[in-house]
Amino acid sequence: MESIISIEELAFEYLDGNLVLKDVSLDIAKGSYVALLGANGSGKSTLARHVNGILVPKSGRVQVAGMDTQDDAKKMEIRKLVGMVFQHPDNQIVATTVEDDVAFGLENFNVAPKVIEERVTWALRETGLSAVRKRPPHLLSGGQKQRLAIAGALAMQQQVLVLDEATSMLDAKGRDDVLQMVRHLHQNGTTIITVTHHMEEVLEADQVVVLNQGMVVMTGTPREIFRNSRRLRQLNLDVPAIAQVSAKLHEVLPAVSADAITPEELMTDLAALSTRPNHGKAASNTDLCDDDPTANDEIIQMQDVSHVYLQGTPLEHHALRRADLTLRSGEALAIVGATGSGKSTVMQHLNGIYRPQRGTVWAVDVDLGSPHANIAKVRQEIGMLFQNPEDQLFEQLVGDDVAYGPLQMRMDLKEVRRRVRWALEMVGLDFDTFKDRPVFALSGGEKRRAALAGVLALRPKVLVLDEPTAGLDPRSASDLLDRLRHLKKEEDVSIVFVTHNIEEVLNLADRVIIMHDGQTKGTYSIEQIMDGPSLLLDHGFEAPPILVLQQMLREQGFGSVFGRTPDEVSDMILQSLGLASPKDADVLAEEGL
Amino acid sequence: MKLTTRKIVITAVLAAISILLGVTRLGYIPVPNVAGNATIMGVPVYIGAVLEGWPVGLILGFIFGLSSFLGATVPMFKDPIVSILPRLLIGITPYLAYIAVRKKNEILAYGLAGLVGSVSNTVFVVGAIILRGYFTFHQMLVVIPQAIAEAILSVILTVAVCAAWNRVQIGSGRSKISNVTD
Amino acid sequence: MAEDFELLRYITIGQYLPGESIVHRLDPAVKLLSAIIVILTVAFLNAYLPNITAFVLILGLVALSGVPIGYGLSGLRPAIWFIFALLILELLFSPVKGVVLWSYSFLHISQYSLRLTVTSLLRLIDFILLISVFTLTTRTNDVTRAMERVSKPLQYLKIPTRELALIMTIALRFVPTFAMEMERLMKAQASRGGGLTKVAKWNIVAQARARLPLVIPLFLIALRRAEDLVVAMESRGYVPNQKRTMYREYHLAVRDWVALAVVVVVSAGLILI
Ligand SMILES: Nc1ncnc2c1ncn2[C@@H]1O[C@H](COP(=O)(O)OP(=O)(O)OP(=O)(O)O)[C@@H](O)[C@H]1O
Ligand SMILES: Nc1ncnc2c1ncn2[C@@H]1O[C@H](COP(=O)(O)OP(=O)(O)OP(=O)(O)O)[C@@H](O)[C@H]1O
Ligand SMILES: [Mg+2]
Ligand SMILES: [Mg+2]
Repeated sequence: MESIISIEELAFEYLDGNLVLKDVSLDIAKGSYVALLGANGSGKSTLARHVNGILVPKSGRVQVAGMDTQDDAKKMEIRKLVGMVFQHPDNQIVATTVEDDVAFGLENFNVAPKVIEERVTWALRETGLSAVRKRPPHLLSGGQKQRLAIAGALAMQQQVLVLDEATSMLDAKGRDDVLQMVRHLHQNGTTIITVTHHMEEVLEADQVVVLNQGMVVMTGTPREIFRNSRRLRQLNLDVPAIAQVSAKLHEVLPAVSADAITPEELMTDLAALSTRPNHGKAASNTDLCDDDPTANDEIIQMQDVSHVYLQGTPLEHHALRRADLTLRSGEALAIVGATGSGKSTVMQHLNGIYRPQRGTVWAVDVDLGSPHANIAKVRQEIGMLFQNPEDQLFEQLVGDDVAYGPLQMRMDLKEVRRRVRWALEMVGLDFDTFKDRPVFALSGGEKRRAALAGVLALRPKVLVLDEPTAGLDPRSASDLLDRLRHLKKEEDVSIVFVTHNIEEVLNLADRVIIMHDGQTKGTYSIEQIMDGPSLLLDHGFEAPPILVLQQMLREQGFGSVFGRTPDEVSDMILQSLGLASPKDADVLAEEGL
Repeated sequence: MKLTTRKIVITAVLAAISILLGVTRLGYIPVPNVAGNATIMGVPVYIGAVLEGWPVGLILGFIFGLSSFLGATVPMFKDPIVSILPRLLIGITPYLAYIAVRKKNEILAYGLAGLVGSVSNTVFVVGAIILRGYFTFHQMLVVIPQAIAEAILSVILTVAVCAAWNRVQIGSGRSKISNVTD
Repeated sequence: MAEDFELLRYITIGQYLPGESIVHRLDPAVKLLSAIIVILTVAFLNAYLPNITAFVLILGLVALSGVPIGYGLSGLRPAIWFIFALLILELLFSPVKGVVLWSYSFLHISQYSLRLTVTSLLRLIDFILLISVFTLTTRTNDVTRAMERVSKPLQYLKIPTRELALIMTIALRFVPTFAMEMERLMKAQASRGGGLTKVAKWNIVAQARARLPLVIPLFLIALRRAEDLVVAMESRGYVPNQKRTMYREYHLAVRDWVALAVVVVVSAGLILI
C-alpha cells in the first residue's frame, strides 16, 4: 500500500532534556484506520500533533504525502490534507454561531463563498446539527459541541483525519453515532488516525499502535494486541473485559483461545470444552451481597425535586422534572444516564448548592428547602467533587488548596496540618512530597487526587462525586475506585457517584439510580442489574459484555456465575468447571511468594 | 503591528475576562463613597501587556474602554472621550514599566506593571473627566480611596497570574501548613 | 439568603430580537457605521436644541425598529438611584459658569451645570437606546463581521483589521463559556465552606480577598484554554495577516445607501444648529 504518512526516528521535547517522544518510526498506509493507545502522558497527543506539522521534530523526519513537515512552504498544503479534532470541544470552537464555526477552516483555505455554503450545509447534515445552525456554541450540549468540532473537520473533506480523544465527552449513544460517521468516512477512502481510551473504538481499527513513555512498544491488529493482556495492563492500559476473562481461562484451559474479545467467541470456545459445568455445586453468592442489613438509616433523602435553570430569561431550561433519591448510611449509590439527563443537577442538590425549587431534600437531618437551613453543617458533612475537578484547584500550592476547607472553618493551624496530612495520604499522595508542590506541576491523575483530598480534608460523612474517573487512564481510574472502596469500608463514608461506565457501577456501587430526560427512573440493586442485563437495555444502555457473557453462561448451564469483575467471573467459571484458578503473578508478588 | 495566532487568542480570552468581570459585576468591589466602586476590569489589560507586549496591551485597552462605554450607566462614562480614549494608553504604560525592571527582578516587574497600569488608568480617566468639564480637580479627589484599592488589587492579581503562568516562584514556595509542625 | 450561582443570567451578549423592521433589514455594516457617526456627533453636542432634537430622532428610530422602549432601557433599572444621585451631584458641584440660578452656601446651580446635567442625562439615554437597537436587531456574528468591514480602510494604516475582528469574535464567543467556568469555581468553593456570599457587603478588604481565589484561577484557566485554541486554529489552517475568503457575502442595497445618507445629513445638521 502507498504510505501517506511516514515517520522516521522522530524525537521531540517541550522542555530541554525531557524527551516526550523518543525514536518513533511509523508508516501509515493510505486509507488505513489506525488506533493510537497509551497511558496518560505517554505522548499520544504530541505524536498526533506532528502529523499535521503543528509540532515539528527535534530530530528525525515526518512526511505527509511526500512533503516534509519542517518545510514551511508546504505547511498549508499539509494542513489542507490533514484534519484534526481534539479532546475538549470548547477549546476549538472559534466563532459565535455554529455555521460560522464550521466555515472557519474553509475561509482559511480561501474556498469560494458558494462552495463554503454547500460544504457547511453538508457537514451539518452529516453531524445532525442542521437544526442548531444559527445557535451560539455555548447553548449547545457537550455532545453537540463535540459534533460541531467534528463537523468543522468534516467540512474540509481532507484525506487524513486525526481524532485525539474526540469522543471523550459523549455518552454511549453519541459515541456510536460518531463511530458510524468515522466508519463511513473510512469506507470512502479517508485515512483515520484515532487516539482513544475506549475499547469499542480500538476494535474498529485495522492497526493498533501502543505508545509508552514516548516509544512505540506494540503494533498489530486489535486482536494481536489484546491477546497480550498482561503486558497491556503493565502499560496502564485497559483490556476489554472479555479478553481479560479469556486470557485468564487460557492459562488453565489451553483449549480456550486467548484471542476471544466478544462474549460470543468465548462462548463458542467454552461450549466445545470436554469438561462440563458442575450443575450441583453452586458457588456461594454471599460475597456479592455486601449489602449490610443494619445500615438502613437514611442519610440523604430527596423527593419529587424539579429544577429550572435561568428561570424567567429567554434561556430558561427545565433540566430536572422529577427526582427521587435515597442514600443509606454506609452505602455506595451510582447514578447513570445519558448526557444532559440531569445527573449533575441532582448531585448539586445534595449539599445545598441548589435549593429545591419544588419538592424536598433532607440531608444529614437538615431540611435544605428551609431558608434557615444550617448550610455550613451540610457542606461540611457532605463533601462534593464536581465534574473535571482538576480545573477547580484554586490555590497555587497543593498544601494550601487541600487546607482551604479546614481554614474556612477557622480551625487551628496544627489541626489543619493533621487533616491535610490525613487527606493527602488517603488519596495516595505523600504529604511531605506534595504539600509544597505547585499545582501546575501535577499530572492529570495527581490533580484529580489532590482535588479529592481537598474534599476529604473536611472529614465528610458523605462523598458526592460527579464522574470522578472521566478522562483518567484505566490504571489511575481503578486506583481511584480502590481508594473509594477503602474509604467506604474503613472510614464508613457513604458515596454517591455519577459515571458513564457500567463496569465501574459493578465495581463500587451497592445500588444504582437510572436517569432519563430529567427524571429518575427507579433505583435498582446491583444484584438486579446482574440478574438481567435487559434491565439496562430497557433504559437505553448497552449491556456491558461482561454481563452479557454471564447471562449466556447461565443459559448454558453455568448456573452459579455471578461476578462483578472479569477476575471474579473467570474464577467462577473455573470453579463451576471444578478447576482452581491460577494465582496472578501480581498477587503472588504482593503476597511475597 | 504583526499579530501571531497566539497573540490574537490570548488577547481575545483576556478581553473576554474583562467583559465578564464587567457584566457580572464580579469585577467591582463596593467602596463606600459617592464614586461607587473600585474595579479590577483593567487587570486583564496589564496582564496582557506583560505577557504579550504593548500591541496586545493597546488592543485590550481599547476593548476594555469599549465595553466600559457600552455598559456604562454613569452619564460621564457614556462619553467616548472619557471611557475609550484614555484606555488606549493603559496597556502601554505597564509594558514600559515591566521591561524597565524585568532584568532586575521578574516579580517586582509584574508588581510594578500592575501598579503603573492601575495608576495610569486613574490619572488618564480623571484627566479626561476634568478636561471635558464634568468635575474639577478638587472634586475628583474623592476617588483617592478607590484608586488605592484598585492599585493594591491590580498589583496582587498581576503578580499572582503572571508568576503562576510563567512558573516563577513567589515567596518562600511553602504552603501555610508548612509553617507549623505536628 | 441562598447563594446565586447563575452567572449566565447576566450575559446578554447574543440576544437577538427577531423582526422584519427596516432596521433589522439594513446591512449590519451600515448600521454600525451609522451608530458610530451618531455617537460621535451626539458626544459633542452641547446646546439644548440639538440635544433635544437628537433625542427625539432617536426615539423615532426605536419606534421604527420595533424594540420595546422599556426593554431597550432595562439596563438602566438597577442603577437608577445611583444615576439620580450622580446627576444631583453634577448639578450642584459642576464648575460654576454663566448665570447662577440658585445657590445655598457652597452649593450652586449655574446655567452651565444645569445644561451639563440635562445634556448628560439625554446623552446617557440616547446611547443606551442606540446600542440596544443595534445589538437587538443584529446577530453577533454579523456584528463582528460588520466591525471588520467598517474598519477595512484602516488597513492602509497597517492596522490589522481582520485580526482585530477575529479577536472580538473569539472574545464574545468565550464570555459565556468563562461565565460557566466561574460558576463552577464559585460552587466548588461554596461546597468547601467558602464563597462570596459569606462576606459582608461593605467589608472591602474581605470582599477583595474573597475574589482573589475566583479571579486568579479564572485567568489561568483562560490562558490554558488559549493555548489549546491556538493549536486548534492552526490545525484548521489559520495564518494571521493572510488573505481569507468570507463565508457571508454582503451587498449594499439602495435602502442602505439612503440610510447612510440620511444619517450623514442629520448629523451634519445637528452640529450646525
Ligand atoms: N505544552 C507542553 N509543555 C510541556 N510539556 C508538555 C506539553 N504538552 C505535553 N507535555 C508533556 O508531554 C508528555 C506527553 O504529553 P501528551 O499530551 O502527548 O500525552 P498523552 O499521551 O496525549 O496523554 P493524555 O492521555 O493525558 O492526553 C506529558 O508528560 C506532558 O506533561
Ligand atoms: N448552569 C447551567 N445553566 C443552564 N443550564 C444548565 C446548567 N447546567 C446544566 N444545564 C442544562 O441542564 C441539563 C441537565 O444538565 P446536567 O449537567 O444535570 O446533565 P448531566 O446528566 O450531568 O450531563 P453530563 O453527562 O453531560 O454531565 C442540560 O441540558 C444542560 O444543558
Ligand atoms: Mg492527549
Ligand atoms: Mg454532569
